[in-house]
Amino acid sequence: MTHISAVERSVEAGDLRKEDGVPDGTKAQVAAAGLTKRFGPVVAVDEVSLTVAPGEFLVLLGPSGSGKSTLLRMIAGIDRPSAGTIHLGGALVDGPGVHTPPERRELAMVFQDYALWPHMTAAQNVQFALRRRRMERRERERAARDALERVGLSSKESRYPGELSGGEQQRVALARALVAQPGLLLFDEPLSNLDADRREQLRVDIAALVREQGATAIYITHDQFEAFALADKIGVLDRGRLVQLATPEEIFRAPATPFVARFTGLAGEIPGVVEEVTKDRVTVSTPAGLLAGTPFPGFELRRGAKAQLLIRPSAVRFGDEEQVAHARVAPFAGSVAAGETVIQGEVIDAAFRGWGYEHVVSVPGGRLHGVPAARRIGPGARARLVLVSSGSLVAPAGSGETSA
Amino acid sequence: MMAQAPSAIKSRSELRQRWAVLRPTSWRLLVWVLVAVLLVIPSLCFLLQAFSPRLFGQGSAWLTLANLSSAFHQGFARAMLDSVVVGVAAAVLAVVLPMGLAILVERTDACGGGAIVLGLWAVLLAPSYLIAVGWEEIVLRGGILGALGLWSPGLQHMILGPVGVAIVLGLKGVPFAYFALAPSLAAIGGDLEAAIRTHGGGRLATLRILAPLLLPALLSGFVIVFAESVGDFGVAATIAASAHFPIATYLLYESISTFPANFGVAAVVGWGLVVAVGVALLIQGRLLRGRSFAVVTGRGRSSPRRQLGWRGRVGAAGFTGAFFLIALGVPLVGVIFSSVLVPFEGLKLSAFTFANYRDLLGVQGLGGPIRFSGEMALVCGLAVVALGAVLARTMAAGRSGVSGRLLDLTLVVAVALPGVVFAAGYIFAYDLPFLTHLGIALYGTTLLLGMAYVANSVPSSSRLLLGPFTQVQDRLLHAARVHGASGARAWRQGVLPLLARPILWAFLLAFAGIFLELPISELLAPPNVVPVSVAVLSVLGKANIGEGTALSVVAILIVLAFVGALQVVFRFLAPVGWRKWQEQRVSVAEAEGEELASIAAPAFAPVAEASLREGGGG
Repeated sequence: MTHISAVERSVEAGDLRKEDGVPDGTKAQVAAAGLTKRFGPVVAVDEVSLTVAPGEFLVLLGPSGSGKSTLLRMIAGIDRPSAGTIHLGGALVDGPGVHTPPERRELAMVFQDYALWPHMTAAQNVQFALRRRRMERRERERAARDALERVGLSSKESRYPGELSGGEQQRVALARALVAQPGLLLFDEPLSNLDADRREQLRVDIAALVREQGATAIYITHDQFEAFALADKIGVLDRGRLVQLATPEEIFRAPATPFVARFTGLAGEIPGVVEEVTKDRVTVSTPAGLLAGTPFPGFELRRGAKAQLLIRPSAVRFGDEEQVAHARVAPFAGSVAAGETVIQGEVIDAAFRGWGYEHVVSVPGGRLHGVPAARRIGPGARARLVLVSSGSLVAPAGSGETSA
Repeated sequence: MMAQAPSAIKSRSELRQRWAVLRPTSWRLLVWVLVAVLLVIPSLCFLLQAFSPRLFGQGSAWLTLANLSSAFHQGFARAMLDSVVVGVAAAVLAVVLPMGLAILVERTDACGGGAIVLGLWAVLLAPSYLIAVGWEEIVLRGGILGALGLWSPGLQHMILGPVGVAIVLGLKGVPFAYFALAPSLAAIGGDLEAAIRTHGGGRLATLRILAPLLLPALLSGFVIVFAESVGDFGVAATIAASAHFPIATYLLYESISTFPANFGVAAVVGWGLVVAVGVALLIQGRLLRGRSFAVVTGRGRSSPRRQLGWRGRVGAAGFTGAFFLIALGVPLVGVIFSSVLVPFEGLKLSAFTFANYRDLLGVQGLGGPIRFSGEMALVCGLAVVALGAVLARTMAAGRSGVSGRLLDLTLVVAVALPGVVFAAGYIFAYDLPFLTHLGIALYGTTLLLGMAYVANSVPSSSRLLLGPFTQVQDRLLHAARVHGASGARAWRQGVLPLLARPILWAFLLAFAGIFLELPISELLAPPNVVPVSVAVLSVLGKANIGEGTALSVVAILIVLAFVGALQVVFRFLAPVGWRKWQEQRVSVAEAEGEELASIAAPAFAPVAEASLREGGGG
């Protein structure tokens, strides 16, 4: 009802574009309420509600099958919701008996596999998006050239997609999305088909160009690093449900569920039994000794209950000064600070990462991955590890298994 | 005014939005209405008469088995058995021969791959009755072999009998099976083969493991050729008729064309054909049930091509040459010689004459049939391609749904129903009294003839286009839509140019098929109108074989000229990108080591995808 009222109000204000079901491109705000998509018995998206403020960069993060692509396609108008509503720029575009087709939503989209028309040159692909602007041909050509220049492809405007590399093709797709300056940009895992080098370059370009344009963006990925690097806000999806919508910092520091914690990166997990519970700290008796962590909100933990200690990569480091002398993390000063615990382990693998080495260390009750050090510590070496309790989380045992 | 304008816009917007919600359902409904009007209703009207002759005033019983019994008395069982045996033999031949061709094109460095594909298109364009007549003209006593003094009664007996029928139908089916097989054969090499070899498998193990992956393509080719063969009328009316070898389509034609026509018996034969293809589809489904062959379409490294030595090259050229000689060369020579040679005069210079062509040109009004058939082929060919594309898209988009599968099944079964069934069905369905009361008088009109032409060609046309439509990713459409294009513009500018070549070929095939179509033309042509094939038949019927074949040659030349002209027009007038992207796909694929089914056969490659889809059930 509130959505209908909003539309009616816009009509009274004489905002015909909104009333016509066409979103206002200059004020692209996305509001989804109770959005659900069913494919037969499968619920791909389950009552998702979210809002994206104008100019905001939202990243939808989730494993394969979590419903993020379906959610994006519904916002684009490609798929129709089974239930719920979508408002774009204040206009109702999806709701009971209402569906605005994609071409009338004033948005643009970058696809995972580029979706460039192979029979059109790079310039023609970009110009295509300008047809709805009803510009003159010469003006269109100039705008397309400018857009290609912005993505560094001005010299390749007459090439066909088949004559461009994967990275270049995705740049053309990016230029096509940006050229008409839509209020809303959608990105469907645009970097997942590119190699590591090109991925990083294009990620930086996407961030810069989108912000420069001031557009609202919704970007989906299964890569937590990509999400943290790009997002103003991250929405984490698990089995069709939006389990957390917050800033990257909040997501990392205070994940709402064990699933969110696991999906956004853990060094490892150690099982144990709850020893002591206070308001914001839980002590767990583990095979590695007594370890402390922060409880998840909404998960009840009682003394004696089985629990799982979830350890962030940033919460673990080698305890031997020599081993960490040139590592990325602050070196261990030789003593344990408040909130830190030392445990013993055995190195079982070391991988060179350029800046140093990442190690897999076996500790009583589990394994910890990605423990950094400047020098290689060979497999079989005994090591002392320091765990920081503020970077550890405690969840009831068996809770929040990932759907990945 | 300000208060009214938003309200008016609101209602317009609401209408548009409600239409957007209803559109997919309406679209499917419209497709089914068209399929029903063109294919299902006429076929059912015809087939129902087998058991309920009174429905259409063909008898007094509402429900009877009399037609079944009468059909058995007229040799229905024998005719069906003959058809099935010949169909199976033709399908086996049509699957074995293309395997050799596909191995040469896809897995060796033998030259002439492009020429083989073009040659296969030529086989596809040649009507079966022409190939049959050509062979007749070679082996008959008064034919070429006779003129050369090489006539052999044994050879005549063999060709003008079950063996000849199976061979001609098999040769005619080779392109269908080839285009289903070749891409699969190309795709199962590469990494899959390397994996077997690196894990200790020898050549035999490689063959044993990879051969089952060809099963979907093999079965798909087999079923399509079987359906085409049991439903073929051209060979039934020529070789089978002169050899007195009763096959089902001829029995069906006989039941209709004799006086009084026995539509009940013809309908029983129609049921026989439907059941035969249904059983073939069932067996195909059983054999492939629960097995996934998706790996075949995956990205992989190029299959290694075997370097042929000179012996291999000679063998390859010999095999290819022999195939095209038998499939096209010999029958074309037969037809051409028959049109310029005086029978029983031997092969001397004085026996050659252009009298038949002179006579033809002297026939008053000969231009009429050619012009009429040309116009019908042009208009109906366009309609066939348009509807075929719509059906292919509907099947490609809804392949997992009941509607998509049912449509798929309907169209495969329709391939098996000969044109004569549609023609007879159209008479019953569109000459009903209640239609006349409504002022709809379709019977005896050019419109009805056109509808029947479309109905006859659209099943194979849609199957031909199914592959290309399946291959085009929906994302290209979605990309156009989200960047502001309406649905129609997204198709017109974003997708159809990519399908231009397969659409052009589908149109040319439909054009050739309609231009030379026989049974529908004969039964449904309006009074005072003579299509080309009817003119040919009437000349042949007057026992003037030479004039008949001369007319066939002229008709084929017209079709070939049209095909050539359109290919040239496409080559020079189509935008560069339309042609270039295909070439780029090939070069990129080669550079990246990808397998692309469409390298050798751009227009048909996707048929293999379709066949995999059918076979793999996924």
